[in-house]
Amino acid sequence: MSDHRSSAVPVVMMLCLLGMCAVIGLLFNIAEPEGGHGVAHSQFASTMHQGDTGSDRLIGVRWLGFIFALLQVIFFVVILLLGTSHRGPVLICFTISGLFYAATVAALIVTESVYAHGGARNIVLGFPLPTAIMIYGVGGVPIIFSVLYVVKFDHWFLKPQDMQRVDELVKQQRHDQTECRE
Amino acid sequence: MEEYRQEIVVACVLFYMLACITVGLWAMRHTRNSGDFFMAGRHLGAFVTSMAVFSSTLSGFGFVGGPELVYKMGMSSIWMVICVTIGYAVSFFLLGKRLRLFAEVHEPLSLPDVVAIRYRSQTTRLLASIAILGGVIGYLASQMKAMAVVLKSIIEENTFLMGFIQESSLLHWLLLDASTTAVTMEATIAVSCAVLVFYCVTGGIIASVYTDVFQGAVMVVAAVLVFLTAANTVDGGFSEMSRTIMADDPEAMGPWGTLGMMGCLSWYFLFVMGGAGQPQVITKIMMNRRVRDVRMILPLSLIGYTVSALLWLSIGLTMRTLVLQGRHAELESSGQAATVFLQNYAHPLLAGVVFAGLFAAIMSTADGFLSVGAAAIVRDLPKSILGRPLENELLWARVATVLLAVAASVFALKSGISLIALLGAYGWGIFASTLVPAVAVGLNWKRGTALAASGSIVAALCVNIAVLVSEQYGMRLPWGINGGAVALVCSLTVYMGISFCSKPPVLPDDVEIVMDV
Repeated sequence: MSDHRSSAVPVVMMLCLLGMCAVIGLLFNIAEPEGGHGVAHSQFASTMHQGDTGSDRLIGVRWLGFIFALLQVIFFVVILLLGTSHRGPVLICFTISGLFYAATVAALIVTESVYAHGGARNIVLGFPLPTAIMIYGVGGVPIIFSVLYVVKFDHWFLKPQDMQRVDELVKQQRHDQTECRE
Repeated sequence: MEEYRQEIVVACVLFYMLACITVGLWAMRHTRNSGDFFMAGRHLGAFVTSMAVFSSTLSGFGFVGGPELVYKMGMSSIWMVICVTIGYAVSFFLLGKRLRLFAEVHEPLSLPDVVAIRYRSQTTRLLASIAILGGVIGYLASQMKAMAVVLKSIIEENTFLMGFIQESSLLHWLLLDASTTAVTMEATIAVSCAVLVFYCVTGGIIASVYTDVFQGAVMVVAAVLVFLTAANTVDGGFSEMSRTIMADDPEAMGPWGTLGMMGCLSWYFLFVMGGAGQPQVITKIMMNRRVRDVRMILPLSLIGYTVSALLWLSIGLTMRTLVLQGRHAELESSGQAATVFLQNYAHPLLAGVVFAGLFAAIMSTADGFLSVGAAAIVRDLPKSILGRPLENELLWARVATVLLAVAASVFALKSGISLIALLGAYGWGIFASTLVPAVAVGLNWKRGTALAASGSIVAALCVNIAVLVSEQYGMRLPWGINGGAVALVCSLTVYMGISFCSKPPVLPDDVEIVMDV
């Protein structure tokens, strides 16, 4: 069961990490516009920031941000696999959930791009559309993994026979310790 | 009731502190050895553990720093909140059963104990202890200062209490500045620290987790009530707040807020992965009675955190809207968003509950730090340097708890850094980048080596220090990316890179069996 942990999963994790390193490295080489990460508010300068140039400030990095976000999603889903037994149904469930998660992040970035250029200003559940996708979608979709953890715990995470092996090991260790003391 | 607002707030805070002291006295009777002091005898139920896990995760940063960031930067900091769904999943998938199984088989009393068992390396244990101790002092100092700032404002707002202090020559001498007659920071740090240290020293982690249950309950109630109050403060609720803020600055209400895309995404990565590296949180996963309990601890912790985080979002948005609409004057500082809202817009009883909730949020994290810090001092450092633990560990653990609290208080008083803004970002980042590779990945990947674990901790410390120093000289990372996230990516890459390049380690049978499960 542990064999998967020494094969594909860590390799994918490593590739994602190298991709993220590359993204961060590229950021150092892209000139950031003035106010790229906010400027003092025009009216309440001492306590508030504002986004300044809006859509213009992300022109150089929107695609890079998209790649960074997708690499993160892949990394998160793959690292979850590191803590599970890596068999058929697990992989299928995680792949479907991961694709759904990635699609939500993609939807956020696409709608945000429209929003930044003056569109998608309708309010959905109290927030502008891209922000609503962020809160309810990107925040909500990963709950699938917690549900899987609760529902499938005995099958995918801690099988009774595994627990039995651990119990035997503990019993053996206690026995050895008692003998040592005697 | 309005005229008694300040008295109600003081009464709620006093009641809360008395409750903490009572729990400490009760827990003292159940603390007989260092196993009880550091691991609560591994007898906690699923509900108690989950309350302890979520209340330790949401520190004073969530109650003060969160609303501050939303007021100041719009939606940017919400990435630190929404990450919790995937963040808790990562923590529990990787560590939920694994840490508890290590605890079952090897009976470790601290996280560096687990690291030493996994890697069979005292060097890795030493580095993990140093990282924990460094992070604990800084983070704890921040919590102490936050408590002191809040207590100072509560006392100074209360005319009755101030009058009483001024009339008593002893209290005047003890608490007030001779020249300005303002309450001194030294006095408020001493008072809040005394309560914290009392229940931590007497009851150890047992007091800590049971106060966490009480503190978690206060935080949930406070957050729900504040959320409802905030939604009713602006006509039209959150939709109207969105419209007002968008009319002023669309970017502030967009998903990246004013910080921008790369900054938000770096926060997301740091806070998702970082949860699995917070020692004050993950050590509590080792304390539950049965391994299978982790199945219920995950959803319960998630619900507790999500509900409590409503406060983060609602206060910041409400205050920004009120200021933009001209219904409230501009705040003196963005850090006042939470306190100004509570003093002006919340029912006096609610203000009292939330101020108590604020202390609860700070103390529930601080007591966890005291516990892991004390374990590092009396157990992990001696074991890695001398090769054996100290004799009479329980006594020394209590002494170390007091010394750690004093050291953190002095650091808080002497440090010139504006702490509340830095608290979440740096403390969280240091723990995440130093411990996630060696602990969260290492306990699930047999290929991970001791050299890789030590290398990743050193790399994380170096990057964090470099970022901190460069920021002191005005050099910031581009595009608002977070230094902790960069350190975490680096340390994970170093850990996996070194492990891939090394010969696969030969693990002892007892470690291999636990890692195979």
